[in-house]
Amino acid sequence: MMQIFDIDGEKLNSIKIDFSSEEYHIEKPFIVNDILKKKEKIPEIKVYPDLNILKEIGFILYGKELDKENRWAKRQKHSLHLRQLEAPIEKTFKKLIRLPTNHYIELDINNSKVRVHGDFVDLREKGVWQEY
Amino acid sequence: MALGKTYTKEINPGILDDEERFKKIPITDIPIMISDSGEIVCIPRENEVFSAAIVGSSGMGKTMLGNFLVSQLYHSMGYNVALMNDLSDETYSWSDAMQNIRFQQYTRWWINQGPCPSPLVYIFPNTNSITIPDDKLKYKNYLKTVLPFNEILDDLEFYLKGVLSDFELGKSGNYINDLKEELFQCETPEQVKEVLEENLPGKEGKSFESMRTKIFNAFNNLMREEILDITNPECHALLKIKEPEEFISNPFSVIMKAKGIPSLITSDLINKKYKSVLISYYVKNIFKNHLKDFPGEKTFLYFDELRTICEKDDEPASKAIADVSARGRINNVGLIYATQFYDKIPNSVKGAKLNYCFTFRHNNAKVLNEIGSDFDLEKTSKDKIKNLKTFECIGLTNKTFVCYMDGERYEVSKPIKGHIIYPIANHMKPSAEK
Repeated sequence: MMQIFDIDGEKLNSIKIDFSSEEYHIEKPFIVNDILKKKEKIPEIKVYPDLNILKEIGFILYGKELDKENRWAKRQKHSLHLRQLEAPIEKTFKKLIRLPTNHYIELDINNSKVRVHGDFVDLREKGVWQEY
Repeated sequence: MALGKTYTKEINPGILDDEERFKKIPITDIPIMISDSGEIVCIPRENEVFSAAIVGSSGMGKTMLGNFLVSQLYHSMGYNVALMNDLSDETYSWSDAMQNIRFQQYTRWWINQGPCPSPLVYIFPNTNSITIPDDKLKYKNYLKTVLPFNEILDDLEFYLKGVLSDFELGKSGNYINDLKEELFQCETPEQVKEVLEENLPGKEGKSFESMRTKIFNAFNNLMREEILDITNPECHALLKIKEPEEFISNPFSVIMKAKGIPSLITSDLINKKYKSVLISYYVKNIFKNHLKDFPGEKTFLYFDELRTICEKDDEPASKAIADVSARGRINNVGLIYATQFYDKIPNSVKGAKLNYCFTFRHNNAKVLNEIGSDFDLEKTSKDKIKNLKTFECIGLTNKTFVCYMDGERYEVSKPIKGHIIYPIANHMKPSAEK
């Protein structure tokens, strides 16, 4: 521990921090790459304003009810989660029958991928493509 | 004959176990945000320091991005960081780990980093109105500081202008210069007064009376403001560490040397005339001694709401920050600032000297035009800025960003729209703190 002193060599009582403690150690950021993932073609994106396309490709859009303090967008009640038909889901997920206003589905038809766009999409899944 | 494991994998890659199939790729650059396409957008790690602005309306996520960036510079890059202007006591929460579960999940999901506090030490410049919020700082680290006496004597007129804006010491300054040696020895304000009484001319006659009055007034003003306090042992002008070797310097540099992050609490300075002078002293001191104090290391100075200390070109703090902006690369000192009022920031600090700008929603046409001209922004990008949601921003650069996606690392120089990565240190508006 690196101790801080005043100019006369007295220890500073108001600084008790141990800057080298484990508390301040964190693993450096990283991403995980699937080495078996196929090389992608140049995307061709098609936009769909409703959920019908999801039925065709075997996906369901779920909503998960959020407490007031966990909402991040105006007029939000749910977070949105896109899952494959047979994928395991959380108990609190409820199937949605229509897309909220200003939300849409995107398909990259060259790479067989889908994602949902809009403010209510779970932030961790925002921008994430899923293969269909 | 049995086939070797390696050969088997070559003909049937499907047998790879998870450890072999999912490769961990370290992010060696400074992550900033997630683009709309799911790329991790980073400021490239380079040999030279950079300067960056974070611009946007209030409540859009500027300070949150600042908090995240500070953690990354400190924890992931190993750089020194000093927070130079906490006007609203917002950094009190930064010395805790992120508590919001949703923010934790998000950051872990994208860059595999969990919550972690920043090792902050709060610096309170002593004034005649300072109160330390003991309840908020019960388990935190802090100290009170004063400006060093010899520093003030060396440039008395500069500091007195911070207390009395129209003060001119003029030729009277020569009398102070002659007394410096004796004044340096003083340990109390009374001793300072005695030295001045004894040695300034005009003690008996009237010929130098106005000069004497001027100098006495000047010292009285400094003492009254208590930014200069040579008697209070709880207020520190200099600090030291003894190991691995003795290092004596201003409180900011000593805390950074000890691997902490100093945070200058300026909430008490809002209406003080000498605020600019005081910040200027610390910025100049860190900057001019950096190569000597931190050889081979990089240091970043982070200013929140820069306009509150830096609006006109001729202000002391503006000049000091402009120096960092213009010559930071030479001394290895980088600059990051957040502001709502990009158009009000002096030209000596922004413009071509900026390498990166992260702009949150803003409707002020003047601000958008200034950003547009500094970063060659097209009209469509300006329109996008107006329509950004909370925590969304557009990254602009005169150099390049580095993006990580699908195991690849590549450079991008165009504007990128995305969502900030939530801080790993806690983040609360002061009003929300318990």
